[in-house]
Order: sequence, then structure tokens, then C-alpha cells
Amino acid sequence: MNVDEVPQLRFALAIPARRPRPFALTPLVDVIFLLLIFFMLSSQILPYSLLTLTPAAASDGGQERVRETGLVIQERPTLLLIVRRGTIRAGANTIKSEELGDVLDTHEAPQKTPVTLLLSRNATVQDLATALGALTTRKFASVSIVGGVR
Amino acid sequence: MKIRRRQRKAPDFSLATINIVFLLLLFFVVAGTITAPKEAAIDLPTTVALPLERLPRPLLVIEPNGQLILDGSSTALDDIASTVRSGPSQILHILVPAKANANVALAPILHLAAQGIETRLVTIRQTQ
Repeated sequence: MNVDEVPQLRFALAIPARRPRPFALTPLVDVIFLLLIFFMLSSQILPYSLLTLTPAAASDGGQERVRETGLVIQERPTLLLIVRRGTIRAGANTIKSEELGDVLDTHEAPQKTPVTLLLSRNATVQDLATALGALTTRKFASVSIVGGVR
Repeated sequence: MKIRRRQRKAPDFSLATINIVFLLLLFFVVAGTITAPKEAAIDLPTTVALPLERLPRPLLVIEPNGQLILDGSSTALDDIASTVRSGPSQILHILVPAKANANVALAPILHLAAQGIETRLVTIRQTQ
């Protein structure tokens, strides 16, 4: 018997041809959802406003300036405001903190008027912020704060 | 002549979803400010008609009892100036509860001002 005549068993394994896989978006969506949840929980969407308390240029590096005489002559009259808990005293009038803006609107030439805020011992940060906010928006020349007033 | 019709693909639902999620993510990244839980819990003073600003670091929390917390860790008053100077921003942002005594908050602010540190009080803008 010839070798070529030997019956042969032929197996045809059906291996499918490799198809290119489509780009899987699901893992990407999962990661982005996790990032979204993180930022939603950790971030604060609050309307912050910043009040400048002490500009850098105003400081004198801790060196207290000593005047030759104790007499200080002001070129322009200073607006004196006494800040108490919930109220502000401007001259002879005592008004509510929220009404300060209306009183300041009647002031002539705020850009040329320096303001001194005297903080009473019971004044809160809210009282100080209300007064400073009203003065900042009306662009007074300068604001000095003195604490611990009775 | 035989006109071949193009096979219409079904719209991909996941692609539309991811677009919306990307937009939401972008919004939160741009509009949000990451704060520590202790900083977020402070009931800040409110102001009216001031411009809106972001809340950058460094953040100094002044507790009503006078305790100072700089960027989440307790700190001494004398160390604050050097820490702020070594950081990228030279402006110190101050968080104080609205009901705290103003004189308690004023003492460290004046101390820092004497050392040449620019300070800003953080408030929440109230809608009129």
C-alpha cells in the first residue's frame, strides 16, 4: 500500500477570524462618574466675597512709626463710626448695621474722606463685615479699625 | 441602476451620557472650591453687593476661642507669616464665624498686618 493512499483524518478547527473590538466606553463612563461624585461632594459652590482688611502696602514691617509730636493734624475730617452688636453709631445717630449703606449714600465726597471704625467689645464679625462691606462699595479714602472700645 | 441604501446605525446611548457627564464634571471643577470639612462648617458673615471671588489658599480659620487653623492644621500665630511667605500666594484669606467677637478676630489680623501680610476676610454674598 502506497503511503499516499493511507486514509487521513483531517480536522478543520473552526477558528473565527479576529474582528477588531469596538472601543468600550463603559469603563471610561464609570471613572468619570466617580470623579463627578467626588467633585459634587467635596466642592462648595458658594458666592464668596473677599473684604480687604490689611493691604500689604499699608504695613510697615512691624516697625512702629514714632511721630515727633503726639499731635496729628488731619487735612480732612474723619468719619467716626462706633460699631456695636447690631447697631452703628454715626455722630449723634444710632442706626441698625444694615442701614449704614443708606446713611453713607448721603455722604459727600466719600473718596476724600477717611473713616475710623471703633469696635465695641461686644461687636461681632458680622457687624464688622457689614460696616466694611458698606464702606468698600462706596470707596471711602481709607478705613482704620480700632478695637476694644467700651 | 441599483441604489444602495446606507445602513443606519443605532444612536449610541453611552456617548450621549458621557457628554453630559463631562459637562457636569467640567462645571464642578471650574465652579467649585475644595474645602476641608471644618472650613465648610463655618457660618461666615454675609455682605451685599461685593464682587464674587474664588476662595484660594492659604486659608486661616480663627475660632471664636482664638484658636488658629491654617489650611486644616492647628498653628501658632508667630509661624503664620513665614508659612504664607513660603507659599505661592502672599495673600492670607481669613475665615471667622459671623457670631464670633470681632475683637478676638482683630488681634491676630493686626499682628499679621504688622508683619507685612495682606489679609482678606471671607464673606458670603447675600442675594438682595
